[in-house]
Amino acid sequence: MKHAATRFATALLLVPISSENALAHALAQRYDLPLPLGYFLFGCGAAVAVTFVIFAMFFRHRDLAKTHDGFIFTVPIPNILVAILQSLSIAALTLLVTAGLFGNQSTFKNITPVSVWVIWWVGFGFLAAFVGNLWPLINPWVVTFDLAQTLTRRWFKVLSFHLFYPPWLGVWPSCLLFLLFACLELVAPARDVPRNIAIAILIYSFLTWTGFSTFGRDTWLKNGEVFSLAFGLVGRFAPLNFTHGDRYYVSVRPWAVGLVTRAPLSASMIAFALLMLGTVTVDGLMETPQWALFVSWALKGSSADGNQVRYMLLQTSLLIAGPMMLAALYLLATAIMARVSRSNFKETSGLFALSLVPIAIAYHLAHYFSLFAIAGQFIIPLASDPFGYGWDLFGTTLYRIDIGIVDAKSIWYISVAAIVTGHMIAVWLGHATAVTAFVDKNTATRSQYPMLVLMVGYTMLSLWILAQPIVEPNAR
Amino acid sequence: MRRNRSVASKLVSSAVVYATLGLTAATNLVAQSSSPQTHRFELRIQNGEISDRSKPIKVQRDDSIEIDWSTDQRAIVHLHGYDILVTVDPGQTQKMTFVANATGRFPIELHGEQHRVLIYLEVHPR
Repeated sequence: MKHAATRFATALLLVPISSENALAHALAQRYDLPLPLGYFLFGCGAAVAVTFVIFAMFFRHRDLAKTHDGFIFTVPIPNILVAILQSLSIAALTLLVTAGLFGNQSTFKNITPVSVWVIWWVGFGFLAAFVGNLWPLINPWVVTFDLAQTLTRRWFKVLSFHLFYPPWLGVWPSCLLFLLFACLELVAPARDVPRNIAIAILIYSFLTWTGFSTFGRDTWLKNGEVFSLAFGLVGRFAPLNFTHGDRYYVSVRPWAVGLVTRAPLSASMIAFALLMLGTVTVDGLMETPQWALFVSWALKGSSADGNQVRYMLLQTSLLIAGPMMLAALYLLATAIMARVSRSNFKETSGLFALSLVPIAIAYHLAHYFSLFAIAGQFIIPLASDPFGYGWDLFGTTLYRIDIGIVDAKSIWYISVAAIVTGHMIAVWLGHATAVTAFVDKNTATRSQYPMLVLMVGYTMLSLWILAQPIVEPNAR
Repeated sequence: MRRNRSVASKLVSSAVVYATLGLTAATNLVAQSSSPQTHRFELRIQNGEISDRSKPIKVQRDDSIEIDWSTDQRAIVHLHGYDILVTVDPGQTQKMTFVANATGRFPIELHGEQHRVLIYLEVHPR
């Protein structure tokens, strides 16, 4: 035992020689064990059971659907706190860009890749979904734009042309940007290279500032700033809601009621929501053995050089086809609902997209929890040496990440509990929305059948993906 | 309003109770605890892959593992997660020895011009 431990330690000492090459793609790599059959079956069974229980309860107690219209209470946030958070946000953005551009270009010796992909995209996403979406408060592009506006007030009254934003354009720009972002996250080969991330941040910053100064800050935030929309969507689940009027306010509400839809969403907003939900699932699908088999079948006979490009094309097609498929199923379900309830199809399809969000949030938590807990630890050594120059600012440079920080069994518990709970909330949301939307209560209840089928299917697909062993297609 | 809440909270609490019960039952089926064991594996790389074994290596948490590597041409083998790297030359045997103290499914890759997964190591919880 002791002997083995000594050898293990020796092996660890050898690592720094290799890590540059070895960890090049490790950021996206997860080490989760597949969900065992017992958990999978239990999850499926519980999801179906929960569906029937809630359905029966709505039949008996229709007042269950009466949700909080507003917030329990709203309080202003102290300006000093806002100022501190906003300064931190600007400092973080500056650090990420400079470290990315000028720091060590090895993925794990630079603070930028881990901060962007793990801490911000996954971690801040969790925060937005489960606690509150702080993005409206700390959005660094808004803060810098406002600052620029204040500084130039002497010369320009406003920093924007306020051109007319065509209503038909809706949030389509954000849909396109989200698809691009998903490609960068899941497909782009050098997405872990610090400089590439910094350049992407710079390009996006200029795009956003251009949007602000062309159409006005608020118009662009509502339609074209993709992260405001993305965090805003998952943030509807959270109990805290941050708003901006004459100053910043935080309101408190029960979980998930922010997702009850009272006015139908626009076509482009439905597309955005389904795109986000579909991408989350595709992310998981790309690690299943079935996908790996498909990839090796599709790439058979092509030369090794062309493989990389073909593989990326396959991934991109799945990234587009997945959300399209979800959209087709969703529209089919809502078309049947509209028929059953004799209501307008366009309106109906705008009402129920958000009720699927809890399932996606739950799956996202199950999928990324361990990655966040394990890869997130890299921020500890990197905080001391953000540029990879060999500094030791806080004395944490030698921290070695603990891959055993969460046991697989805890992850299985968390995954199944999250997915069943997410499904339960989704079914409740669907009913609550139906009761608010349709005058006749029986119609409201009957209208839910197609939605329930879709929800059970989506939940089971999520569980099925978690029950698959993670496999990397050998296409590199 | 108050009634809704009580109905909803009953619903939530009963679901939580059922979930806990079900999961406890499920885990008992899955896990058979025993004391840590020592496992030895002999793996041979031929033409860039392991010819006689494709199924993952399955062990339990805290087991001691020893993998003896041999190869037909020079190979750099990397166990991810545990982050152990060995270089193997033809005609010799290289050992990878460690205690599997973290659960998970870890790829063991052959590093070269392209990284290729040779086999997976699955460390299951006890």
